[in-house]
Amino acid sequence: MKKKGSALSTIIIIIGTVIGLCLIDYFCAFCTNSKNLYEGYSDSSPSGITDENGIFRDDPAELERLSKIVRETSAKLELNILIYLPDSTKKGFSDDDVRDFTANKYNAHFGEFTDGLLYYIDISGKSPACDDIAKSGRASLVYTEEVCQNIFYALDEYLPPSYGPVYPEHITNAVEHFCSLLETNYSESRASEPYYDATADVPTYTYYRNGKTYITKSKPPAKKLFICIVGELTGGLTALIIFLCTKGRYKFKSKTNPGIYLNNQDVHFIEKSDVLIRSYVTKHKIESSSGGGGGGSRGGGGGGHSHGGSISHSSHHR
Amino acid sequence: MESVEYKCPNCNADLKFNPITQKLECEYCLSSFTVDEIKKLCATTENSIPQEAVQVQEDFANHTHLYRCKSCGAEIIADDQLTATFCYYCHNPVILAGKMGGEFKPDKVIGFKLTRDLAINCFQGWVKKRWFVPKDFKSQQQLEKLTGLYVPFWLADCHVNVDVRAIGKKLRHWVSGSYSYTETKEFRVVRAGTMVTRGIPADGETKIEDLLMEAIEPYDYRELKDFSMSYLSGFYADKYDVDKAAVFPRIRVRSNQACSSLVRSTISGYSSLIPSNEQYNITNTDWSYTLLPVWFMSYKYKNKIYEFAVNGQTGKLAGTPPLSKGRLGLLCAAIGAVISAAIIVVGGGIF
Repeated sequence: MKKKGSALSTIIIIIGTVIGLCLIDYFCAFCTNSKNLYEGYSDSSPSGITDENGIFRDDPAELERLSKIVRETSAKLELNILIYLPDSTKKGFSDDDVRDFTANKYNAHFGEFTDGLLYYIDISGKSPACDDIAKSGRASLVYTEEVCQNIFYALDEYLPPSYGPVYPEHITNAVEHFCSLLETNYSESRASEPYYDATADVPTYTYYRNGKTYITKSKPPAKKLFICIVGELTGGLTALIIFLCTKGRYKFKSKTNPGIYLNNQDVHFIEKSDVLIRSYVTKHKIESSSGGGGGGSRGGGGGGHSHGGSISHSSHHR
Repeated sequence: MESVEYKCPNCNADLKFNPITQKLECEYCLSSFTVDEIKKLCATTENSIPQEAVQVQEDFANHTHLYRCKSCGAEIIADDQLTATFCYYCHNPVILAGKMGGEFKPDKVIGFKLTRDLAINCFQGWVKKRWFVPKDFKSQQQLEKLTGLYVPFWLADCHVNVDVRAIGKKLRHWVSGSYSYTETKEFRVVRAGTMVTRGIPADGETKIEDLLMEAIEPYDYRELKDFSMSYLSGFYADKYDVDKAAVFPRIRVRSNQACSSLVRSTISGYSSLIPSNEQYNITNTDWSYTLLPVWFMSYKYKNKIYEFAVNGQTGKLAGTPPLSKGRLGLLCAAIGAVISAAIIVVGGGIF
């Protein structure tokens, strides 16, 4: 009867502990967040085109016209938009360099944790050309990877191939269509999907809730839940090991070796012999093993890249 | 016609002739002897019964009081100067049951060398390293329960005939050209002779754990003295309730272990050893009924009795410490919680 009661109380304690841990996990994962870093969108004035390449050097009016289109789109979508035309100094950039550059450029131009994007049209002469869209804030929720790839494919017909010459008309067409594609692909409903940028120096989690955008340094709830469970399992296992090891020390130990009751002077061998009775030699051929070795492992490809702020990327090779 | 009664040289029980084996066998300790062997062993004793030394038992009987615990049935001996008030096994009151019979007078005794204070120091030193014993286990009240007790022991000197035969193999490997060679040398190993294990003790008290008493061994038998009532003064004593025939199997196992261990130590240098015969026959056992000094304490925790014993001569301590699972559980839970919290905070599971 007593044993039954004890087992019942143990089960109740275990169930209580599990429920308690579940509640803690839920609280940690869904009810805790760090500060909202979101800066939002102010106005369209910083939006436009940066012609570092000087492709519109001879036609500043056209550049101004295109910049105006960009600003209008920016005002309409309430997103910062910058189209960047790199010069030949960016020709040696790797894809990762391009991503880092666009992210840093965006942050430098519009500020961290703002809503907007930077479209990097690679006319530096790099082959293959690597176009990139760096997105921040609400833009990274609205323009998902899939949407950006569709935009890239749609713009492919307007942009020159990486090995060919670049004319202002290419860029004009690309910018006009890019702005139009941004508008057509804009969807508020898509913003409900959260976005986690794990590649940044400080990973950020961007999500949209109750009509408000949040950018935090927290991890997504699922990840937090996973960390909580791993932490609890590790702690629980450590506690169990300590418990069992300590319990083991509270067992009866030491038994006297009966050998102490036998002295050498009380040992009298009548016969104590080790007689060789037979000896034989066996031999067998050593099998020569061929092959072996096997290829060593090759290190995996290049590492990832990192950038500051809450910038996400979509890249495309032409 | 006078009948001849043969007694087992090991345990003094009656020997019976087995027509199948043609040997005299002991039903109690399972020893067996040929008729020639037993005649030789008992040649010097009258009527074939090993003669016990005649002892003056009256003094012992007249100066001892026997107390009985109504709860657990333990019987405690105290001299007529000391009054036993509680049973040191179960801590219930004991009652005076009468005088001791002279047959329980011990042959030998080792007096207490360890004072009560030293025994307490030993116990405190031992318990200090154990953090998770219940708090009252270390209390003064508990220490007062430490009782000086003479425990009845049967000390046995076993004369053992050893006959060990085995095949030992020595291997040598070498490589020459594309062949690997193995040379095997087989040796016939023989170890035969006689050995005497001296003073293997076995407690004659059912209430005390045999393993507990084995754990506080050894005693220094150089300090064995003929029994005198004066040794009991100020201490308690138990009377045996397990006779030598009953303890002999334990003695035999330990004696065989000692002989086997020594024989094995003389066989070395072999890659493998295949025994073909390994016999340790105890041909004769000399007994001595002895009281050995033990500081004894029992502790009741969660309906379980925990016994502790300190060798009253050497100070060697043995026992199972009670574990307060609640306290240990709390500490483990706290450590687990700290580790979990550290992982969660560092890993980013929160904020």
